[in-house]
Amino acid sequence: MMLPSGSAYDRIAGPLLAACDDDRVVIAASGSPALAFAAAAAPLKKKLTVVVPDKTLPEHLDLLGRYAVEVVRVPGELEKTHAVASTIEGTLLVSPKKPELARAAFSSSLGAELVEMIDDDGEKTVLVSPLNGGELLFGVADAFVAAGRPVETVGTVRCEQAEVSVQDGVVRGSSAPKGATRVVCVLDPEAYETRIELARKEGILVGMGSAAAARVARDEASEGARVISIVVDAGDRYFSVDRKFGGSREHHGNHGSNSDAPQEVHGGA
Amino acid sequence: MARLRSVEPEGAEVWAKLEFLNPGGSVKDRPALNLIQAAEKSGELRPGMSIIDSTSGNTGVALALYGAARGYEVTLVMPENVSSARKSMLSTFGAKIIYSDPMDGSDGAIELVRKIVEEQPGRYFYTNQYNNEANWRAHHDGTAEEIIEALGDRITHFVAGIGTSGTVMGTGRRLRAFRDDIEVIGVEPDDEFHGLEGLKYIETSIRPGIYDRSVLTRTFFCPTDAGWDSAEALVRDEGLLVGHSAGAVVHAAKTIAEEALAAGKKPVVVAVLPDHASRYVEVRES
Amino acid sequence: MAITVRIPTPLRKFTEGHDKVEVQGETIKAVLASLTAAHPGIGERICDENGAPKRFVNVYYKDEDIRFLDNVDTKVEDGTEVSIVPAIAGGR
Repeated sequence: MMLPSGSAYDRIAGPLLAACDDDRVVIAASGSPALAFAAAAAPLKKKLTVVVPDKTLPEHLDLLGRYAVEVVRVPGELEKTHAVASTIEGTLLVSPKKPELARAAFSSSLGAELVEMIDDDGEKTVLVSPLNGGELLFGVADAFVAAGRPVETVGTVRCEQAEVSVQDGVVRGSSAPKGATRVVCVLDPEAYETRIELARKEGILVGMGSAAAARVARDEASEGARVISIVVDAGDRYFSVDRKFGGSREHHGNHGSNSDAPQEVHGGA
Repeated sequence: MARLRSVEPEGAEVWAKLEFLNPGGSVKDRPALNLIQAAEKSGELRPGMSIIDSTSGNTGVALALYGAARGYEVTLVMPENVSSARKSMLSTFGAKIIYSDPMDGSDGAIELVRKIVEEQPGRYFYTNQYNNEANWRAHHDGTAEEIIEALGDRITHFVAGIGTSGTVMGTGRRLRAFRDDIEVIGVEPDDEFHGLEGLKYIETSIRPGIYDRSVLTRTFFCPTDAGWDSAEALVRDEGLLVGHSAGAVVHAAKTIAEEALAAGKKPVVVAVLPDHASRYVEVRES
Repeated sequence: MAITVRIPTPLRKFTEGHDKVEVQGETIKAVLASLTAAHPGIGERICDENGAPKRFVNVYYKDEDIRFLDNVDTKVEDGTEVSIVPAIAGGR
């Protein structure tokens, strides 16, 4: 958790809110982007309304509820949040149908930082990240394009959410910068396997989306490419996925019983 | 470090050292890594051994993380009423968990670890964070240096919670060596029955071996309610979603700043915020 | 209605060191009230001015947090057990 709310979206939430003249701000987002804006709004004295899809993970809703923001839950997928957010008083800063500001902010922050770090040797860089609305992946790629660096983007999506419309490098109305763009589907159990592997072998705990991207990045790197896998957020806010995919390792019955007879529970996926 | 303008009385500065920014999400990354490295160096920890400690949380996460990264099995003993989120995170890192009786609190877990280690000599490396000087040394060489680098001569007060006491012992020693008029304040709960996770009421607890009262210029006893209210104010006013012990430390820092102002001083207070509230997320099992 | 209340270590100074005490009551509220009456000093540690557990205190009835039952109005049966656990080490 190297950023205040624990995700890449911390990089853009503060600057975007600070640049907004309106004191009332609305965003339509889920998970980590929502949490980043909620955290940034308080010191800037912005009255923030966050419109989230009700499929948001319960741990994300719990954390979001602790910030001094108004949370509106909308049934269905993320796409549905835009229409509701448009009707709420205040400036609609970011939504799935309004990714431009976020994209530009990622380009000037994370994108510029990565361009700075990578040698200008004419070699192609492959960027891998969860696709989401494209704002992060394409925003970072924009910075590479602007600097005249060859770049390719690979976005990962959950196979389980195959209805996400990705055609010809266009996702939710946002186009990838020129250069080849691919979208790779990752199954949830595969992403989970990589989450566990990264935790146990590297001591790095990442979320499901970032785990999916890391899995794809590894495949890309095995072909000799220079790959940057963007870990979008900290993995400590995804424990419900462990319950879902990690099998039952819950343990009951020792509550209040004799501590001389400890029961051991072995972690294991 | 971040300046906490919302808690500053006029004329004072209150700075927060945001320890949730460590890779493992808490201040415990520092001692955990140093405990492991020091034991590797001394030969107490060898490949194939299991790292064991009693921990109600953050040290467990940090040991699980660095143990995994360095290829050791990690065994953690904790009261059974630890949140399922915490258990889940520790299992994700592959740590083995042994439960102690929740009615006996963290001291019950300490006693159980000692028993397990005695029963199987050579099997475990007991990090023994309450008595291992590598704990406070991590803060002496790390936390304190970073604070000095950031604020230098301006710092007047240092405030940190007492759990193992490693943070306040290590940082306090180094700061007082840097300038002997810096006040070092340790924060404890105001009663042994409290709700400030991570903090210890020293008088009635197993006393940490590394705790040395003479390093402190003062102990601040924080009521649970004041700590919880302070944590709520921090998220409302600063967007900092921190744990209750961080709330208690900030409450202490604010009170101490007010008192110093009243005494005609211009305080520059540094407070250590140990962790983030995402550590304490609990979702009802369906 | 005899109910056994499990007392955590830091509160045993109020119960002469006993880890379990027996009290009377048909609801959690009544159990806590009779515990307080029998062991002066324990009540103000556990309960707020309305007789409900403080926000950092978890009261369990049959291994279930009473916040997920009927809170202090939860009915208790003769011969059962109530536990008082500080919300340290997880939970809220």
